Amino acid sequence: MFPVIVKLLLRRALLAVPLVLAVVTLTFFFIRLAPGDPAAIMAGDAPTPEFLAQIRSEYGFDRPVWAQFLTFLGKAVSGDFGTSLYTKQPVFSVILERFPATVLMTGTAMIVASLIGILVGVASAKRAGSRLDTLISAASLVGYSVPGFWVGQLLILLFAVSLNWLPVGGMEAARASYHGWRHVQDVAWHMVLPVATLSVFLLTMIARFTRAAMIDALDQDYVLVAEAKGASRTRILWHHAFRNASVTTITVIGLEFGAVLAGAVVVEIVFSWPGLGRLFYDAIYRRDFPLLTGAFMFSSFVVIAVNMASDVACTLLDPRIRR
Amino acid sequence: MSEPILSIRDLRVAFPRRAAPSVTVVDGVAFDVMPGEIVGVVGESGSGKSMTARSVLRLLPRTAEVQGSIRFRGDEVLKMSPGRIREMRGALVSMVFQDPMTSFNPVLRIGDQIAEAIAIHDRTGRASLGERVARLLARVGIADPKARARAYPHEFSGGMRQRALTAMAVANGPALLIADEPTTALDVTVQDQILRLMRDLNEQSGTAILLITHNIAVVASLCRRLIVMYAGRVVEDGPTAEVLSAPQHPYTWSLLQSVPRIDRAIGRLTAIKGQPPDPATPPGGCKFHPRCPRAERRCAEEEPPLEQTSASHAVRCWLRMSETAEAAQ
Amino acid sequence: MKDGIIVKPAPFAGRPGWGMRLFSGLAAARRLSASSVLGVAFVVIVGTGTLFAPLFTPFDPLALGPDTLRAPGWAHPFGTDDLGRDVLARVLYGGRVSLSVGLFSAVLSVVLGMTIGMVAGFFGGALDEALMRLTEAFQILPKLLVAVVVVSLIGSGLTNEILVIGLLSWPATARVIRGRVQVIRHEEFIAAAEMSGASWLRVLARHVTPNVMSFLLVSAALQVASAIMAESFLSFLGLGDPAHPSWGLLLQQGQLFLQQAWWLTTFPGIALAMTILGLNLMGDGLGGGRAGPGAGRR
Repeated sequence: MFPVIVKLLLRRALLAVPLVLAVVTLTFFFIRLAPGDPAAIMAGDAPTPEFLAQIRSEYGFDRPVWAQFLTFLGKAVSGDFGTSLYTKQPVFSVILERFPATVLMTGTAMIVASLIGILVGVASAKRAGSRLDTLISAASLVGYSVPGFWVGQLLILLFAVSLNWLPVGGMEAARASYHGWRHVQDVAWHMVLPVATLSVFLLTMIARFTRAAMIDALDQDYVLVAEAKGASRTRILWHHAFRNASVTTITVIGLEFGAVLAGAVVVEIVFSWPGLGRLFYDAIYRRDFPLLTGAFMFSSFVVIAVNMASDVACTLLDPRIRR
Repeated sequence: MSEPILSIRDLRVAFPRRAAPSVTVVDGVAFDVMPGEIVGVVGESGSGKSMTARSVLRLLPRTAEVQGSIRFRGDEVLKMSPGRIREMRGALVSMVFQDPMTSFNPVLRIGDQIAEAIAIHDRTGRASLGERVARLLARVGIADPKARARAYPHEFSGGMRQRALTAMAVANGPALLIADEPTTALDVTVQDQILRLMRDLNEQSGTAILLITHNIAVVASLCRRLIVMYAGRVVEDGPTAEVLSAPQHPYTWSLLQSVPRIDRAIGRLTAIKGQPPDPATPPGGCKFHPRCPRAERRCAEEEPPLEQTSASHAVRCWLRMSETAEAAQ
Repeated sequence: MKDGIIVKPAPFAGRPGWGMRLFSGLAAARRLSASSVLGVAFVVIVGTGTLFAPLFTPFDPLALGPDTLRAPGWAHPFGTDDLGRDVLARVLYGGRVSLSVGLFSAVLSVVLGMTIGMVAGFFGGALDEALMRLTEAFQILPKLLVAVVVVSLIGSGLTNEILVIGLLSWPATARVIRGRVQVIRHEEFIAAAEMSGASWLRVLARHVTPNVMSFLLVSAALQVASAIMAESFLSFLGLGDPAHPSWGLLLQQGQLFLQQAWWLTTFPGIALAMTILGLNLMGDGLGGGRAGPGAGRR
């Protein structure tokens, strides 16, 4: 079993390489797209002439385009995303510093969304066509149509401002400094609203697609055969039907991860969550282009990695996909 | 003479429709199966034979309305609690379905699915499950059973899958095996193997078999008794040899006329003209009369009851075909 | 497939004009559910409000005023912001921006998607493969993040926003159209048209296109919804056109005063949510539920 997974991962990793290259190429292309001197863009507003010259030679902006691209590619692949104009620190280390907070919040949101989404999807498939099912479908549509940042703002208005149950923002209580278990509790408390906001969108997608896949699975002959064997309804639902539908669920999670990450950006803004998303925002209004492009490349790599992981998971779940 | 292991009386299955009367697909079916007997049920698609079979284990769609009586070893199936039905399924009465391609769950191993059939009814002996599965697979003629058990359904051929399905169905030694079109989706050589397999099972374990099919050739070799269904009703019920050599119902006779025979030359094959009736709008009188070559006025007005013409043979027809006249054809 | 077997011809194979096809597509949704009617209602309400904004409010959305951060009341039904601007006016006029950016980007992505989808579905083979790889590549990229980076670099402005969103959103439409074209590719009347000597361009234009109309409409509705969402995302991050404030921008500004002035975020948000929801309901209703999420997004 183990060598199979390793082989799969390697295969997918190989496929990811052209994607990674494409991302880097695109980023380079975007920088070139910008009007004006690319060196000036990377050097920021009002740079000193020495700094401008330094940027120019570092990125090779004085050399032909293809050479510039190679330089850029080399730097990107080796983890050198340039230096943040604002903090004067290497972009990569700035990103790494903020990344864990995003992982914590986004990861939790994804787990919550998956668990609830799957339960809702399976439950509504089981009662397909009933009132409850229609209600859930309608709620899903609403959940996925409402912009995430507004949901966040509404939740703040309701739970933080008027009811005062939960904190307005931030990852930890500003003035106190907790340790150990108290600290964990504090962070968890601060995470409730952001996670709730971020999971809404993914939850509705998962519920909807899981429902469709479950309805499909429950319609299959093997379900009838399982019933004829004397299997209980619960076993049929989960061990047989959901096992098949889970491929769709995982696929959806992989496909929508890009949107989830974008959602994380706005959620971090709304809740002042100190993560990668917030970094994006800061980079935008500070016109810190090295940071912006670096964060973009990093995020894209993460998206590619998640897609890869979901692909591998699907292959493991459905033996027909393996080859 | 013992008691029948399965006794169906006046079985009716109907499906409700929106803003229209229910559609009756099984209309007053009655027959018995003796322990260890192999009974064939023959009919065109739409005759209600599959629904009849599924009713025995209450595997009908949720919307179906069922009436009548189905007694298995004296117990009324239609009144059993869901728990008891589940106990019965796969253990006392098993069912094999038509399409081996889709009857197995594609994401689970064959061995695990067969083991499931055992484990559902026998919580003990988890350790020996692998052994028992291997033995079952060997019994149905699958080579290298231990390795094969770890395979996935898509790695099996159609014939192998049908054997594995049969193995799964007999895993708990059922007293009755219901096979719904077990050979339809298979090619001819494989069909033969499966039928042979069933005969072996019957002879070795005394398992009664209810074989549903639209293919008369299949029943001829295997079944001791033959039941012919048309439009949701039993129209003829008797020993196979008798029914095939001297059919008493015009429908049976027409069916036989449309089957190619090696043993004697036939001028031309005659298909039965017309189509089976739409269950939503059945014809009045005898359901077969619009297509019957010998229909008379009485047939259009009044439906004949199922009547015994001898101790073992019953027919639903006003004009039973005399043995002498038609058998000669 | 086509080998001598008579395939049931598609409705209106060949003759009736585009208008007829469009109508029948809409009429097919004669099983108009309550939800799609609701969707239309939402869109109409928002559309009317923004289109006839001067009728609903006397204020200029950009005009500063003395009354800052006033809660909703008679003079200002939606309250005022920190610079004394009337929020109702900003919502209504802002809607014009959000809706037009959404509409134009959707047009761009639908046209682009339709073309690519039709070509891929109609010709198949290597061309289809290549186009599908391209589509997949576009879909893997996190669309909104790409938009953010590009707009940051090339400058925010309505035209830029429209171009970027439009150029990133076509894959969804392309997929749907390609699927549909693949289905009708094998219909009788296409074969008939080809055999009568029509060039592929003519076949595409006169026969294929009218038969994908209903799918196109569904995809279009969902694309507009998705584009409006994208535009609000960009504006919320401060990449909107400051001279033409849209709902997203209003929400960004509202964020700063979240604890003091709930009306700054609530009303623009309701307008935004209503519009997107309405469009999704319409798209869903027209498509008979088979469109679903994911059909218009990404």
